[in-house]
Amino acid sequence: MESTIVSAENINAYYGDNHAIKNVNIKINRNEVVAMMGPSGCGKTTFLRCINRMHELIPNARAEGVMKLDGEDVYKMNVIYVRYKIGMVFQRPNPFPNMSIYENVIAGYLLNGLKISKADKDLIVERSLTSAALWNEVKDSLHKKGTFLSGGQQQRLCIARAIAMQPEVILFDEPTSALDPISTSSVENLFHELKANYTLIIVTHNMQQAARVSDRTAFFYLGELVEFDDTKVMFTNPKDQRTQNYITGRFS
Amino acid sequence: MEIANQQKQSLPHTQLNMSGGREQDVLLKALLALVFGPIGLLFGSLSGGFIMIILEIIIAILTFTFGTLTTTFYGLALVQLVCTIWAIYATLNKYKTVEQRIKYRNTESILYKTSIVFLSFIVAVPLIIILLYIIRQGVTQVNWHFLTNVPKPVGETGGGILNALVGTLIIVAISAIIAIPVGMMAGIYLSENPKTRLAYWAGLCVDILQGVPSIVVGIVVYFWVVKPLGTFSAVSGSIALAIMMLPIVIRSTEETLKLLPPSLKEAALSLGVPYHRVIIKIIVPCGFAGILSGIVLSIARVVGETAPLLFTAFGNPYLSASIVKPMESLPHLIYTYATSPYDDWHDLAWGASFLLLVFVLVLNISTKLITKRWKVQL
Repeated sequence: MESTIVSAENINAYYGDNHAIKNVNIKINRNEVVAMMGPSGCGKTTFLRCINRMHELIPNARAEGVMKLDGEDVYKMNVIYVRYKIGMVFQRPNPFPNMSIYENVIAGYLLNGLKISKADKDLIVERSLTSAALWNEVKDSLHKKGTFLSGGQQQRLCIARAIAMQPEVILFDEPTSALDPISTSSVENLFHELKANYTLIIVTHNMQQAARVSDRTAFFYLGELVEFDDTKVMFTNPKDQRTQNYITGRFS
Repeated sequence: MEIANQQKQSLPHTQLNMSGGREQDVLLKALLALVFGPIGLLFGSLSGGFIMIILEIIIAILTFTFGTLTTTFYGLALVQLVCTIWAIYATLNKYKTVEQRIKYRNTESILYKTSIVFLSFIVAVPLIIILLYIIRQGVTQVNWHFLTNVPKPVGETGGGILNALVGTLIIVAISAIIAIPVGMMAGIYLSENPKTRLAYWAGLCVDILQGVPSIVVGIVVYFWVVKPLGTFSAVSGSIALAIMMLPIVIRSTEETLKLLPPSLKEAALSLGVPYHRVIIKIIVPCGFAGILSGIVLSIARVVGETAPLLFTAFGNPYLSASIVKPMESLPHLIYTYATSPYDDWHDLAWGASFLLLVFVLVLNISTKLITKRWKVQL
């Protein structure tokens, strides 16, 4: 059951001359929740973006090395196919403001011009919203604009949008940093349920969050992957001095 | 209670402890303002100096134009006196304690607010005067006969402006068809690639194009289109107007799209949507309200242009729908009729002005209503 789904081999990333990620090797298993933590500017978001090639949007950014999804090299695949397979949820909730909740969920299909029947659409919307624990709250207002929802609901709508494409991996870029504690806990509870069907990679500043939600934790520091281990081991008995320092709050 | 006390105690400390040189300072600033006028006032109060420089120029021009040299002299002397008082006041103010300054804070802020409201009302005054005047002169002319008839030959009474109405609609429609796609695409390019060299030069060209006088555009199109074709034509007028529309459409599209958060684009791209579909399905719809109002603004701008049409669409006393023949337009009709020696033609010109005004107003108001539906909450 423990099969590798994402594997990074000697990944180096640069912003112009700035060496942002230094030789990262990591293997992430299917259906596990991996948290990536580290101080600001340590390259964890950059690494996350390297997984689904979102780093290509930033001018001057480039990545070297081999990133494999299910044994296939991501950097040699069609970028559109990569992003079908690897969904992403961002720091700030970003539903499309010109679309209703219903359209937002199936935005991946609508925007790509994929033809699906009305029944299939309804099914996908209901299933995705149920998985994102939002169905009960919005089932009566599916055709309202998505931007009328609260911040936490919007973020779950964005998760539903990612789920609707039925990806294998979902990347979360600090998904709760713009949310209040109640919304945060509802999103965190969601991670446990999503684990059954998807592999989740979560970037977070918040150590408690990493400890709460993840099976394994990766610690990044100054562009290096310092330690990658079971979350329990990481927080109780870290092997590296730098991890120890970060967890005990000696530097941020 | 304790905090309030502390604040009261701490206030005097914030005052500038320069009272020793106070009299000297006031005297120096007053002398400077008395001798050098507004320029001397700059040393005492920077903003006051600038205000008085502008005031002095206005007074000089007014008294020079409408009065004699003596009035100019008295005017400038008055400015000098005001400058001196202002300098003394500003310098004294500098040495006041915080309490003394706070005392008049409310009055000052009310004064500023009133002047701002007053000045914004002044902006509306010319518009209202123009509107009322044109409505008074033009509204009596407009009736069914006026709208559905072509002008009568000289000497006959009656006649309408159907040819100009149809001509304006055709010319503006064609120019919109030319300018909107080009302008929107250029605007999208500029907002998507703001740092490229092409964007820099294109942006510069747009700015320059915006400053080109409309008569020059008309002459250029005359040499480009009218001369090779050998005839004045509606389509050449449309090309001239399209050139005038372009910079407005480009800039409004660019500015609107630049305001959209980059996270929208990221969200769409992360769903595996190809770039061109992100532009068509997300970026443009989200900015559509702004783009549309830019388009309307540009149409309203060109619909009243006479100069580019003088050399291109030229004018035509008969109803014509052929775009390769000369065509009448409202502003051109107003121009020719208003400069004619006949009273009833003047009336027609007023009626046409009124129609033009109504057209622009209706266009603006309807866009405001339509874009409400398109406005997105980000």
